[in-house]
Amino acid sequence: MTALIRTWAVALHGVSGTIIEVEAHQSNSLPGIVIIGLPDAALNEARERIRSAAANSGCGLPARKLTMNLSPAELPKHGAGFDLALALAALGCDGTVDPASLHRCVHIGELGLDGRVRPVRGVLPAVLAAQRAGFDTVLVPVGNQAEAELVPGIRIVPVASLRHAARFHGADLLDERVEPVLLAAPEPAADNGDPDLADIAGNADAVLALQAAAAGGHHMFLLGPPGAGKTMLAERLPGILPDLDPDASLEASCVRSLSGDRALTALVTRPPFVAPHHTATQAALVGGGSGRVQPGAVARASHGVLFLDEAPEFPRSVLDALRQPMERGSITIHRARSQATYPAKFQLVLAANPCPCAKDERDCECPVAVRRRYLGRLSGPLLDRVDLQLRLRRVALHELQAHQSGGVTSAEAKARVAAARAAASERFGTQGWTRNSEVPGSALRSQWRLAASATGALDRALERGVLTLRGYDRVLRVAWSLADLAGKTSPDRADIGQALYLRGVGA
Amino acid sequence: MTTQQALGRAGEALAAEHLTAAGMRLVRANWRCRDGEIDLLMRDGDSLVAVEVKTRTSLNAGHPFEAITARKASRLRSLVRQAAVDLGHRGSIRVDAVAILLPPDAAALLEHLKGIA
Repeated sequence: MTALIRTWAVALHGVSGTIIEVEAHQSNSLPGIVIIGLPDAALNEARERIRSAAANSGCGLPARKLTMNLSPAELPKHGAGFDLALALAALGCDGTVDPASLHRCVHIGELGLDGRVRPVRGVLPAVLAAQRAGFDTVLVPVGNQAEAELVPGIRIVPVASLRHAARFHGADLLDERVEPVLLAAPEPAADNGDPDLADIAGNADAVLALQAAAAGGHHMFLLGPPGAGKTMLAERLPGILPDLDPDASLEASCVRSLSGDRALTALVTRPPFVAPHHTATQAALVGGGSGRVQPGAVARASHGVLFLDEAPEFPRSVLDALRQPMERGSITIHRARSQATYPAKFQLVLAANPCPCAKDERDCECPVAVRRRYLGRLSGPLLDRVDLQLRLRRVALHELQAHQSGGVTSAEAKARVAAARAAASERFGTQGWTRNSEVPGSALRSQWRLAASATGALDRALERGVLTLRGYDRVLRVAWSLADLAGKTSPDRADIGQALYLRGVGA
Repeated sequence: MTTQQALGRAGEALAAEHLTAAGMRLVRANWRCRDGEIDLLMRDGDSLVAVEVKTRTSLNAGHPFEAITARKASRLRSLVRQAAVDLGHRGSIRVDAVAILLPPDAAALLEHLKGIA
């Protein structure tokens, strides 16, 4: 009988994980299990789960008092993912399994009363944490096997039941075949793939603006009457964005692992598209919830597109909650006992009707004050961070007829965007900026100052007070993206003019 | 006497035999008062010990110790206090538990926990 058994599990907060040491101590007292070290309700219920699971796996727990400690003790721990580590540590107390083997491995998994190991959320970040902490073996539920194997350089041992796990650690038990608990298969890719840019009739300016947004990573505001194609445009933005780089891909996959109910079998390589409805609460958008902090829409849209249709209909507090993540590229949610940080490097696309009646401008009877108040719900500080502000019109018949010849396809646009991004990152990369939207205005006005002949129109607009200095910088950024798209080394007069035109909504 | 009671008596006799061999002295078996019963009241050196004996023929209904709840243990504690007053005992008091597995076709198995309450 060993005095103290040690093994390992992982606690998640946000997308980062901490290795938790699970200790089990058996004392000569009446049978019972005590779990200490800030467990939440679900984790405390592990007492009942592991006792039944062990009994139904043919290896009852020692009939003594077991004290289990999860350290560091001050870190709050959530959920049922600790069950496997707790049960195996308990079995180590009377020598059913080999303590030395336990001490070498990290365990992730929830137990059913029947002893089967059930899949849990967040296996990818958890295995990643184990790998970074230098462990070489991790036991995971069979249902999470594919997801765990996405992490290179660590041995993944899938276990279907507590019995399998105990046998892995040297328990003298019969091998019994069980039906493993699996997650629903990943959502099948849509048959028609991503919607194509070529579907858009007319609106050539908007198609160009969309490519500029993709190239420079600019946030976008689309203002136009119903039927102008705002949603169509926004949905086609992810399709022309380049594939995620390895770091971004891992981060996006970790968020999906934490928020999804379906199995994750491959890394996320395409930019996600998240379109929350305007009734979304602040917690739904930025993340939250009591106790365990769940990732919100901004985290799920990280490295992709966050599309807010009917933006003025969103509560103002919800919209303004976006400002900080837009600035920082991450969102930290604080709770009394814990905090969680999620990535929030999304590209924002706002869409709005010019007025609440949502009729075409000719039929609109809304008083000017109503129209002004409607758009006024989008606060200045939020729109300040939106480089491209575009006014859309309904498609005219002649544009539709011209469209028969076909416009730019998503594949073409994607190639141009990739080339433009490469140019931008070559230019600004040494400064740590990878996209034009990240470059501060001061740098654009000093180190990368353009010739006065190019910025003439812009300077005049600033002089006349039509444009604020912040607006001036935004035009410069967009102009750089347009120049990159056109394959020029720096923006010329035409690019500046076009950039000025593409921010048509306001000054 | 039912089979259950007979099993209990057999277990208690076995426990008494074992504990006596281990150096404890039997004061009284089945000590009763208004509030309940102590299976074996024993003396271990200076201590007066209430011993709760649980006997099972199999582990189907769980380990015998699992049948001793925290409430039962604390009741035994107050019983042994009463017994100490009754007998004029001035030393320390203790509650022990003995689990006995008496399978019909195999050797008996006995476990002894000291100081459970």
